[in-house]
Amino acid sequence: MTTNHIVGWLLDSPVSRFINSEPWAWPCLEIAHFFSLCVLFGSLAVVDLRLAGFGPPFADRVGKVLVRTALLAFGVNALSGALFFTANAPKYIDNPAFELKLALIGLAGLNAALYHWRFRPLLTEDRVTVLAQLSGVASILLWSSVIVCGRMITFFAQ
Amino acid sequence: MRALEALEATAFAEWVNTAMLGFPLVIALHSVGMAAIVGVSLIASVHAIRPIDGLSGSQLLPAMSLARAGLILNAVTGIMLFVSRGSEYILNPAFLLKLVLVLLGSILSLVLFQTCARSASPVADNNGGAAAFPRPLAIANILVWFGAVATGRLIAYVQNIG
Repeated sequence: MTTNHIVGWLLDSPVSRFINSEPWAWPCLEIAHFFSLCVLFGSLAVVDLRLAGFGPPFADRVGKVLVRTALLAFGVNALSGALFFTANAPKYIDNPAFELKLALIGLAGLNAALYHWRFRPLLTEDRVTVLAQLSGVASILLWSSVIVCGRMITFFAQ
Repeated sequence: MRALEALEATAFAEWVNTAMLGFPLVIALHSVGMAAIVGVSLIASVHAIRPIDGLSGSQLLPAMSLARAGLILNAVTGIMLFVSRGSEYILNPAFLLKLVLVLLGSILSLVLFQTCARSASPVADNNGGAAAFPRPLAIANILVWFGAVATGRLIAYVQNIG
């Protein structure tokens, strides 16, 4: 099955036809996509800045609540993103901004895994390690770059 | 309208409109600023409505500084976008509504941040900080920022007046 077959199948799917036939569907998806990204960014910012060494230590339960909020927001974000792709796959395929955005999300995911396995206990400590600080700063920069790349997709679409 | 057209004719506006990365980069940075102010405001507002157990005002201070920086970035890039396409935006009802909502959201958020900062001293820190902010205003803040995001996205879809 070639890329063209997949694109054709996606564009012909009921989901794609629905999104493309309803004038309000695409704007609503855009609102859900960006609003959930804001929630993700805000909740992670509180955790990341603490990890980067700013502010006093957290109780572990605070970190849990904020990370769960970010994961929920990411779910909405990923779902709306998948619906964008289904409705207009040609816009995203071979689009360097979209490819870079996906790579950055992957890196942010790896960084989040590092947080989960290595750095989470440090939230409650007065001092954090240099690696944890780098991880906190990297998370903010990665998600900021994800937003930049997301905005660039339209301008790089063929 | 003539003043806006004169602004659009400046070399700066021309750069934003014609440089390969001018408009895309400015609008991308506008979104990053928006995500910072909206995201942190939402968390602080939710904390004011239903305090997150164990979270104090001082723990939100670094994120609130980031949000303030985001608001400044959002405003500066917003002005840059307006200079480049002002005569188009000024006739767009979604843009006009967004402007009002962003102003309202900014005021509410800055007051909310101030409330958190005031209770961030070690003595007053254990009261949750944002909990001193009136709940109806916190709910209004969430709704206003949602409206600002929504109207911002709708600018491209709404027809201009006239």
